[in-house]
Amino acid sequence: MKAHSITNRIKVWRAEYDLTQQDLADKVGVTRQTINALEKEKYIPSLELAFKIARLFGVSIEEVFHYPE
Amino acid sequence: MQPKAYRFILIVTVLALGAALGFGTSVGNYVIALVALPAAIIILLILKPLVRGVTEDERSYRLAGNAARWAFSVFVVTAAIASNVLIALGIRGAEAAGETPMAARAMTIAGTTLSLAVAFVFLVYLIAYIIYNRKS
Repeated sequence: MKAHSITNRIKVWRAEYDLTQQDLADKVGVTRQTINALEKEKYIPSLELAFKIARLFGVSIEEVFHYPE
Repeated sequence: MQPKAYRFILIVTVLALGAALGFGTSVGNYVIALVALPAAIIILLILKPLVRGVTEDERSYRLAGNAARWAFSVFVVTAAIASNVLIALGIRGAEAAGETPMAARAMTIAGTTLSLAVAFVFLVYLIAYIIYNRKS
């Protein structure tokens, strides 16, 4: 269930890089539960975490997170 | 040590601490409580650095903040109402209902203690708020 209007494509990028939730969590320094909450769009990450995730995938924040008008 | 094992030890330690405090209080031996509390803290402080992987992150801090705010609100409102009721009963109700002056006095003391606890929690909250406000 979505709790806010910010959407993300973390799951898509994670699949692209063949990473598990635990792999991604370890790489950006959070728990697997946080990655799960992000993918389910129940949790909005801090700006720092958003940058870390985007940089890990080598893309800009807008390519991972989307805030509709 | 895996985070899951640490969480298990944490739960067991907290349960053992609760049991030790309860036992110590029930038999009137406060040394048990005085030893158990630092022992539990030391055990957890020693074990925490041995945990491999991430155990806390920004989401867990945010959850803890929300839970603390909710618990604070519930406690303050409930305790404030309960303390007022106890004090009111202690002053008038208990004697009118045929209770002994001793029972009325106990209610007044309990109500006053509870209201002081609310005031203390408010004070701690205020101090913490000012400190965090300066930091950010």
